[in-house]
Amino acid sequence: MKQASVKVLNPYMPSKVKVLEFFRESPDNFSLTVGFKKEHEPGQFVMVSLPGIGEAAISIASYSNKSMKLNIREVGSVTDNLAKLRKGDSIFMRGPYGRGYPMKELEGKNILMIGGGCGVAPLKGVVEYIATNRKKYGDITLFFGYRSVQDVLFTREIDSWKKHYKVMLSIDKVQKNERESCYDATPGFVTENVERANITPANTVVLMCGPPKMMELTMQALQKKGFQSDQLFVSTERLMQCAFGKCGHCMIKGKYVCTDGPVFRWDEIEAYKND
Amino acid sequence: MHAINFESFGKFVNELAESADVFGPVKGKVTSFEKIKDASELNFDVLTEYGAKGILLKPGELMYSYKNDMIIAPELLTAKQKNKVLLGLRMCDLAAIKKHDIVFKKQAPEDPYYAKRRDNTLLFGYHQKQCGDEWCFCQSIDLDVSFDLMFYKRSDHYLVEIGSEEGKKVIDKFKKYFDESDYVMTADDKRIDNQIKLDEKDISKIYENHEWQKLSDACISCGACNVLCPTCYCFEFRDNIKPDGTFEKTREFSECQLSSFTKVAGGHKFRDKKLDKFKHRIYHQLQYFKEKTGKTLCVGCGRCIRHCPERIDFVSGINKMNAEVKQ
Repeated sequence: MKQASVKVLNPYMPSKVKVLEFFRESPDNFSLTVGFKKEHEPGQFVMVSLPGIGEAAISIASYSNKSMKLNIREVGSVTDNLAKLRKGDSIFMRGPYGRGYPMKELEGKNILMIGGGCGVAPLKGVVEYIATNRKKYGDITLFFGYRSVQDVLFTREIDSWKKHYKVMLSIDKVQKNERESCYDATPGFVTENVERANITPANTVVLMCGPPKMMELTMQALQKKGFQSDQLFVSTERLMQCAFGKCGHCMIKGKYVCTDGPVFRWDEIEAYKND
Repeated sequence: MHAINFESFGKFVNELAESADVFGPVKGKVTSFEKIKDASELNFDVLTEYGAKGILLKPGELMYSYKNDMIIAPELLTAKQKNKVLLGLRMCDLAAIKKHDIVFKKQAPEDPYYAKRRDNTLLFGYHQKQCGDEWCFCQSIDLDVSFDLMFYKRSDHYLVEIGSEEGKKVIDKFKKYFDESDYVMTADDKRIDNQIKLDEKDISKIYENHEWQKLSDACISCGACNVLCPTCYCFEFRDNIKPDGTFEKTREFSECQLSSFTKVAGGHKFRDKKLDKFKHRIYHQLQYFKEKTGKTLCVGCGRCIRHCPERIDFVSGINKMNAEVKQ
């Protein structure tokens, strides 16, 4: 019986978590609020699983000690099935994992956040973190871009963001009849908004997350404005299985996205972004 | 030092197998480490085609199951395990287990599945000077090994070196089979004859070298190198549904040379070029693992060259590239 009393800590084992709210953000994207109360940093991620279906790495899209918001795009079997969940259902979770945005290090600085599509999700966590620590940071500017009016995420939060921060929304393609309802977004790519904006690198850092192509073009735009690689922080995506530096899948040139990232200072991985 | 003659060795193994699960090199269609019932099944003649990694990192390992809204830990973690003996481990196989000890035991968090299989396992090494074939290059690598007992093959007996307290207990328990020996091992006795040599393990200066393209052009992305490598430990999970409604999560090895290795939801594959995948394996083995742990992952067993359908000799390739750097 001595054997059985020894509790083995099992890092692979998830715990059961209740879904508190389901909210459809766009035709292929939704937010889940879950009763997962674990201390975390903005930019970290969790592993969410459905028994018999699988497990997926999902970034944390909130900063609160009451509950956690996950923003999820329906792109595979796990996420398609997560979209069927409603209030009261359960999921399994483990985490949080990884190195988030270095918020302590960035105190006193102006922050530009640049996000594309569901890449806005981890940045939303940063926005909420800053809201609870507002005095520690300078000017906050949000450049968020979406494919179409229907794809705009966090429509419930946009108005409150606009009250506190400079918000520059862009929508790749806006139809004529949608002009009224496009949240004052500029038609075009997020990159174009960045190019046009009156931003300077002085005492400023950029936090970015989005599709690889968007990030690459935005980097070029920022570099033209004098931003250096060590002022840029990006959140990266890779396939993950274990989420704590063992399974080997998420490695970028010897660095683990799950433990060394998912947030990297751009100069740490710039040369190897395709690895 | 102790000694045991070949006949006694067989009896010793058979007696061991009465109380423990004994695994050793067995020749079937291929040679691999298998559980044996009798010493006559053992075959020490050749370096096995498969490494021994599947015994402690078991393919298909049940991580947990799920039934009636409950997650259930597997029997492996809850029940007492029978003791295991792995014998016939060549220096490279022993070194490979030490690498896995780093990843799955030393580096936090500990992997409880590996730890449970490893903790009641005795490692018996096997050494012969003419160990492998023309593709072995273990002497170019710092072979870092731990063992409980080491058996050095001589003409009609093994010289036995004790490597741990547990190993000493085995000798004490089975002392009727072992004789005392006053032979003093020399450094030369412990060497292994290699025909090829990796001149320089540091490959940090040749990442952009054009020779990699030539090497990887020959690769057919079959993943045999990953499968046969005694150290390649990357893994993935599978979710299975059983007929009785139980869900199971199992673990399998995964191969970085296959394009599914980096495929994310939505279909995008990172590091999708064959050249980059090819380099990734070699760099993980010789550089990335060293950056994280101070040791190379590769143990120089040569299995990835020997059994490569295209016989891609990356050792010569690296030697050539590093020679260019020196010029």
